[in-house]
Amino acid sequence: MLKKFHAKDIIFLAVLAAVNTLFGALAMPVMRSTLFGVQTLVTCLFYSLFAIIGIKKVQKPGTLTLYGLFTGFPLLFMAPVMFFNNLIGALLAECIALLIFKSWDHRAAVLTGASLFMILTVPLSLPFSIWLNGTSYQHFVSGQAWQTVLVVLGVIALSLLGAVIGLKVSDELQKAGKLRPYED
Amino acid sequence: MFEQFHALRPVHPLAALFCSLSSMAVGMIASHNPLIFGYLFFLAALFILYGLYTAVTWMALGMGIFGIVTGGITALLNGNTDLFWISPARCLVIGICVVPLLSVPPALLTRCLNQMHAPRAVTLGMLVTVRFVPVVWGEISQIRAAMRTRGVDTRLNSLAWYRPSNLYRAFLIPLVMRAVNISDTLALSVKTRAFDTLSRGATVYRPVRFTPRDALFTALTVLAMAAILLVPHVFPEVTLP
Repeated sequence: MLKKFHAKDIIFLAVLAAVNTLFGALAMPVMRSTLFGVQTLVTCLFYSLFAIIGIKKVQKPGTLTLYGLFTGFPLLFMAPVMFFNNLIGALLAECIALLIFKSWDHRAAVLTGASLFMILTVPLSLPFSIWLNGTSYQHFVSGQAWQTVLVVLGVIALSLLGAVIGLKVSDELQKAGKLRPYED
Repeated sequence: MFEQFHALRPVHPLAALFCSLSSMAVGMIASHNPLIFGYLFFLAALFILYGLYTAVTWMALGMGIFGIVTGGITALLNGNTDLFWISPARCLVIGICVVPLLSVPPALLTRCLNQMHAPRAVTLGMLVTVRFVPVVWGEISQIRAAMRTRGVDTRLNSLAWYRPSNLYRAFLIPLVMRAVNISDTLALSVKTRAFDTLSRGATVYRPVRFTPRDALFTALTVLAMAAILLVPHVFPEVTLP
């Protein structure tokens, strides 16, 4: 089941992570927003979109975790806590997807893993948000509860949308012979 | 990515990582303490002494202004100016504490990880991610130029840019295609240089060493952290201005 990663796998995931990093910069204007999860809301579509393309090309266990590590790495220099947020989110999403589907061969597995990646960073960012904005847990469940629910629903919807677009792009490129999975 | 912030003699990458993460965590915890500005001043002075003046100046200016604006807006909306200073303080904590990490060239961090026998897959991926952001940005500019020649207005305020058909067919597909092509070429280039993620050991020609200079940097940062955490307990009479 476990396959080793070759340099070409790593390079493809890293280049995709570089593309993703550029789209992640869209969150810069809302970085200091106190609205919980709004940073994830802005970027989740791109993260799930490019994650799915990465998984479709490199169908090995550990792909999503590596992708989370690479997308998180540039954040290490800007917002170090977000690095761990990204990495743990990817690791959890991969574990869930592989526990259910056993491998990345199923389309549903790819869709689940890539969508869950960003969705899972939302609860993970709760302690970070409390720490950075100096608010308490009560703030999210009482005063801003409806806003939090809306943002979380938005993250789920946009992550799914990004994953579906990513699947469409990768299907199209695979049909054209440009995104065939690497063979060992 | 942050070449302009790189120091001539950077701090040891792991010392920079430790100092950035821990000083930021402590700064956030102590952000309600009025002594936070003293803490930030000490850290900024230390970083400047270590040659990180460009990064300190730009980050302090940028994040300081950002903090004043956001703090001002919040104070105006809430009608309470008493805690206005907390927002600039927190922004400055992020801006100044991240400076040691910003000043470390990614290649140095990768070399350091290689020395520690970190998986080569991880170090290669990290290096490629950081190095290829400007390349990908260049590719995006070329795709936008191609879109313009096909009659799509690619200015960010143009509605044509946001049409799903334009975005998908003329932007997204070429972008992914270029990412695939770049990675294929790079993989070939890496392979011809006999680089393999499965081989064990790699020679580091210029090892990164932890010097007394790095130890002093770490010790002074820890001293600042201890001071900001302990002073309110030792001198409880220090209150909000």
